[in-house]
Amino acid sequence: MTCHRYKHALLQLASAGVETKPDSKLHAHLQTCSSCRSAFENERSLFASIDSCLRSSANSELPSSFIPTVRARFQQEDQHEIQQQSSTTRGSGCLTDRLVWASAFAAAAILLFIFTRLDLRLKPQPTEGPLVTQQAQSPVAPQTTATEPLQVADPQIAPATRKRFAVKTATTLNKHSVLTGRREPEILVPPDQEILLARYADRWRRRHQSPSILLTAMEPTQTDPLQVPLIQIAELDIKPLAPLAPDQKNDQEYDQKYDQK
Amino acid sequence: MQELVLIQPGHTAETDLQRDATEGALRREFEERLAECGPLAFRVARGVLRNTADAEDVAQDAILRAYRRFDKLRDRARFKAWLVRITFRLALDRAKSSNRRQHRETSWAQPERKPAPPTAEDLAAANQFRSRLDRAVDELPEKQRLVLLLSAMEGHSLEEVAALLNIPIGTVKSRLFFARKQLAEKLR
Repeated sequence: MTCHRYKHALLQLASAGVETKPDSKLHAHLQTCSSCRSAFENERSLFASIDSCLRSSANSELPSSFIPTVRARFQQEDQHEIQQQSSTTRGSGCLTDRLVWASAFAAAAILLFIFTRLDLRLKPQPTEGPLVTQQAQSPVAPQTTATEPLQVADPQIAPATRKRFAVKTATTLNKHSVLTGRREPEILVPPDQEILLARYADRWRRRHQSPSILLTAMEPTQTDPLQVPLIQIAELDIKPLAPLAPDQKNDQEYDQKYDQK
Repeated sequence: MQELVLIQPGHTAETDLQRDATEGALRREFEERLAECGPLAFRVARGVLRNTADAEDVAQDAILRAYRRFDKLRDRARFKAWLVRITFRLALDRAKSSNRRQHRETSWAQPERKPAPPTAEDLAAANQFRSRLDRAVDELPEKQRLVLLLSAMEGHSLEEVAALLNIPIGTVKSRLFFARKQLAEKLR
């Protein structure tokens, strides 16, 4: 029973090494108990073997080529780093050149595009398709001008809508005429279709929220009066009237009296 | 005669010279430390790998890794501990990969073969004892293993190990005690 009490102390003593001396109680027990003494010796030899093996593996000799090899690898590392830096610098230089050239090319393309657009806008373009609004001008029909377009009395269109449409159309026409330079009428709208066209233009403008391309600025043009060739009439054969009959004379007198009354 | 120097854009000759001087000073300082810490790195790797060639390779890798990042080390007094940790981690990684490779290469050749149980004669043999000790050390926790390895080296007292690992000396003692106890239990 007493051996169990000393077991942990024996283990600690054996693992502590040869130099460590046991305390008095443990020393007295080891003197009296042969089994504990033999177990202690075995433990101590086991720990000694462990320590010697660990020391022999941990304190192995450094190879003589170790430090020179490390220095050679340092030099390789430095050369590799220098090569990497130079390649990086060269690569960044090439990249910078490419960026400069690409940006210059893009700027030139943008300028060319802008100049082309301006040139196209300044030149009056020929009319491409049937687009517009001015009604057919007849000598009899009221004339529609660019400043007062489509002011047609229509009982089916509300007055506010008609007014707004008139203002918008005038503004649009002025802007559009300045921008495009179109001055020729493109569609001749008969007077009975004028209101329908106005409705369509209003609807189209609301839907697209942009200036109506249907409304084109036009100068009010005066249509020349219809030139009709003179009627060629042959020489008139004028003959005196025959003398009145007595009944006809009475009738004339009666008429004169009646007029006097 | 006028002397012309080619300078990269964004750099000046003075900054380049200063940088070169700084790098030279760092290189000299590292080489001084290398003579002191190179053997330590090799021994740590040798203690883990138990193979001289592998240990040399791993120690060189660790030293090169430390050399690349030496300028980022804030406390230069901790260089030895830093290098020991790098070497220990690299050696553990190498040991694991070599174990996996060895297992992969031998498993197909001897799939069903198991090691025979040790006999008294085997235990008596020193090589067998060493191999068993190595296996027992491999099974130790990493912290205990590093303490056991460093304390087994010559010239490393427990106080020095504690300073090297930046842990209290009581922790070093307890880790060493439990490591040796486990080894003894496995070798008994």
